[in-house]
Amino acid sequence: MESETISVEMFNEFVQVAELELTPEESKSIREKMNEQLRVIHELESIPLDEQLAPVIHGNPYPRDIQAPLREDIWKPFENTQGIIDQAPRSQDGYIVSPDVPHQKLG
Amino acid sequence: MTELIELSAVEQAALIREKKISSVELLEATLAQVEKVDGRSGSLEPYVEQPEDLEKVHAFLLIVRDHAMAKAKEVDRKIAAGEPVGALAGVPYSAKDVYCTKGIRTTAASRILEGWKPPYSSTVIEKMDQADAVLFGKVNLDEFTFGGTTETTAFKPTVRNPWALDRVPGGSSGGSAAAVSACEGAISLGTDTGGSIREPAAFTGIVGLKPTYGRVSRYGVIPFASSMDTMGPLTRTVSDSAFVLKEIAGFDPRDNTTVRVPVDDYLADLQKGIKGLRIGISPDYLKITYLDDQGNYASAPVDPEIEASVWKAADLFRDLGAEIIEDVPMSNTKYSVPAYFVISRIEAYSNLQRFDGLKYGHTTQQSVKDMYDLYYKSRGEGFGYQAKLRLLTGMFASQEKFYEKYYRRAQRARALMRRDFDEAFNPQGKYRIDAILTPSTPSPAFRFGDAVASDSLLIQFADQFTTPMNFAGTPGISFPCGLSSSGLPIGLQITGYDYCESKILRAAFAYEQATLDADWRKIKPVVLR
Repeated sequence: MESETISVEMFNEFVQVAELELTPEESKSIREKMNEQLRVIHELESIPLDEQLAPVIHGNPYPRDIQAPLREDIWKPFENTQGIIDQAPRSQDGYIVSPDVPHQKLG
Repeated sequence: MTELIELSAVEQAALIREKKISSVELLEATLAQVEKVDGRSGSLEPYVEQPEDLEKVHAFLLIVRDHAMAKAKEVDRKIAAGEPVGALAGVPYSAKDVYCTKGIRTTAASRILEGWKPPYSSTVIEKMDQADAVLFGKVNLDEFTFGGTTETTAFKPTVRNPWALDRVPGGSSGGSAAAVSACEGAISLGTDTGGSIREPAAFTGIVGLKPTYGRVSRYGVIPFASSMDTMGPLTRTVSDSAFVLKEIAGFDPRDNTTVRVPVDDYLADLQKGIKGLRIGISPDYLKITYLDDQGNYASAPVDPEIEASVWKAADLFRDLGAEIIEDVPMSNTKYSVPAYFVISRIEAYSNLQRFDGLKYGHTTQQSVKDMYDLYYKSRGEGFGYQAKLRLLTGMFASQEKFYEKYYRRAQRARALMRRDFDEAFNPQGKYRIDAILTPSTPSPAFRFGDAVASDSLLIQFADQFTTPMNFAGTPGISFPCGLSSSGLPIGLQITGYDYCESKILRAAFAYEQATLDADWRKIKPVVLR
């Protein structure tokens, strides 16, 4: 059974993409734990699967007669927009205030 | 007369409707019980354990006395005026702190949602309000429901098991289970993604119902793994679970996975009995199956007292007129743990990406150089260890290069597990069963720290008998069946086919009624003695 392991470099890339700042202790512990958990995940490879067996997104099926119809594509204003804005750590004139968004020139 | 707080929700509602007690009186009695047994609420402040913490339950994160009192008074006014009221009029209840409650702090037991007050309520909370139930508090849980012991909460002290205060209440709905077990309300709303209603119900000697996926709306409930998250009640009696399900079930245009299937009258249906019901027992639910160090499948028996409870219950069901079908194969159960690791982590990773420190909840107080720096710092400070671990594991497993190897394979293993249920319940098939009887958990409640430190297979695989129903989408109910020799509650599970909650409630109710006079039912949790 081929076993992937997560290297320090690979782990640091994940942390970057996950937009997390970790302490050195957290990084060490979480990477070790992930490698332990990978051993459990690798058990999937030992499951005999019929090639015809289709994957499922949900367990129970949704036959058309019980499915919810798609909602009409009509804009409905939310009745409590101020309640949303009020929860933002920083807001001004009905807008959420963010720090600078860095721009990167492509190419 | 039994104290008000020990009555079932059905009994409490009847007394209020008959004007024998008021809703305010019942609420006061419930809050007094919380005051008596619960101790200090979980908090984000640095935790220093005090001796008195070890003697309390700590189920609650928040009590909303004023909100509850206003609702209770409104119910009393309506009843006095002869106005119509909802089925649960005046009955106090609590909710796991993942149910959004408009204007009331909602935390998911995570620092990342510190101080957040949702601008809307979940559909289930709205339905409980329409039924005139009285929300009086929010209860603790594993952070974002990530765990089976409630130890991963960011809000300390964590919840203690009312039957043995040195043991976990289970999780992630540990606060709900402990509150109901300690008579701090007859009803608590929980959620179940891999057993998070049924396992804590078993550990605390109460009833926990996980409905069919799509039976109850998920709208406004902070998600863990969206293809498996299910909302349901934890109660002390089977009737109360039936009572609550009737009120919260049904199609919701705001949750496109809810279905247009009629909602049964679960409470009335309890009286139909179980004569002729075909109840299966599977050998695959009487052992833990795992891969050993050589990569071969091995098995370990469940706790002998728990297996004995299953067979004793089977005899009782037979005596009540049910037909017991032994040796029903559910051979793909053993794949639930690796498949759960992949599917639940990938879905959790997706769901955790919405928390950014910008729109709501915790934001870093450190200086930041730009928006991304704000994300890194806020998320680093706000998420607990388990959230970070699951997020990163989900991200790893969802990489494009592993799509076939992990995610698609886990989805196909999920199809295999569903096939077990389809074949066992097929009305034209070999077994033609209506329900399956299993242990809820392979062992009773374990001690704090054992989920991480113990190498016991029964602890490491505590959810092997509950996750298959989350994969299959089928309903399950855990109900108490006695106490172990060390005085800990044991739970049994009855699982059924899609939308057959009525059948599994009937079976659990029949068991409950037939054992009402059992000696073990006279023993109360230690916090009530």
